[in-house]
Amino acid sequence: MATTPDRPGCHALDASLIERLHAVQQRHGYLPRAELQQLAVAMQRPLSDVMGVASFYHLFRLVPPPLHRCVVCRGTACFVRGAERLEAGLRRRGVAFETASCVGACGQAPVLVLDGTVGCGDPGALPEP
Amino acid sequence: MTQVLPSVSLQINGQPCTVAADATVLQAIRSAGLHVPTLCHLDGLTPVGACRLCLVALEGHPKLEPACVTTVAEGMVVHTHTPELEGYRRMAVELFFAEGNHVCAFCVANGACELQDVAVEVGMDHSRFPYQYPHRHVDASHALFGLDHHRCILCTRCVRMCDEIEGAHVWDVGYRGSACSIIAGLDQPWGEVEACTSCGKCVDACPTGALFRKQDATAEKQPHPERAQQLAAARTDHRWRNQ
Repeated sequence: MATTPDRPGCHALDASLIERLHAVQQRHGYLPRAELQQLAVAMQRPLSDVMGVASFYHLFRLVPPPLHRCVVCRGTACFVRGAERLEAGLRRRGVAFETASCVGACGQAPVLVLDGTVGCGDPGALPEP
Repeated sequence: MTQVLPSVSLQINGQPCTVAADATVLQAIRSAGLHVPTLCHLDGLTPVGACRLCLVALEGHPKLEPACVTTVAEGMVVHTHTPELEGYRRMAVELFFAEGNHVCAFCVANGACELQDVAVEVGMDHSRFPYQYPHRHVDASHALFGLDHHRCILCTRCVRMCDEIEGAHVWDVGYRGSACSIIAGLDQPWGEVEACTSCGKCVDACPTGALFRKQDATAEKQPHPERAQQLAAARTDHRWRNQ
């Protein structure tokens, strides 16, 4: 999709950039540089313009995702139940993780999402570093 | 060929003035011989209202408006220097200084820097906000020019100059929040971006020492902010004033 040239006179040129970025990310798991370049060429847009959009949104990844994905929720309930200690514990153990504002599972606070599975991340239950 | 545009009358700081109906409040202020500080505005480029220094108070209007992107209206009563506005302006300049690493003493633009000038104008002698000392970098990959991100205030003048006047669109704004920065190409080293024509107009437009010519040392930068207007006039009106 990223490399399909647009027909001349297409009015949705500007509007379709984000959709196309989503398609690239779906295929590769992130936005590889070569794909961004091809997208810019195909859409006849400046490289910096495409990169500006891609880098603005947190949902777009510019680097390959790690083998396992670990997300710590930073919502209010999770904060109260020790999300900060959970983050510190993961950091101490050298675990790469991302953060989210609220994943909507406040009953299990502090929430930890491991490879898409939502669960309770009790900081006291982490294995010894 | 000259087209007579309808004009409107307004009052600025108690002084009556008449301008074209499609003029901005900033143009009206300047035509009345008055002044408001600006940083992101550059005649010849599309105004964006990013720096918030040209904020003015409009009587009967609930909020302050940036003069550069506000169109005049009949009977408008404008105030450019109320105590409230002066307070906000000083605060905005303090924030500019606090969020970057602006060290005039060894900056190429020292003495010819618009940020320095507005700091003097608004009477800023220190920042009440804690300095962030952000970790930024210097891009010296271009053969002729350099970009010191520490001194960038994200006014986007270079972005607009390159896009609107040169037509190369090498620059854009990347990332967001405190990580926001000017990017070249796919956030590459500037020297690797093939789209760059090395024309140097971004350096001319930069209000600080962020973009500079490599041969310039401390306090040697000579900016040319007037070039945007000259080139735009030559292109659209076929009037050449850049002899």
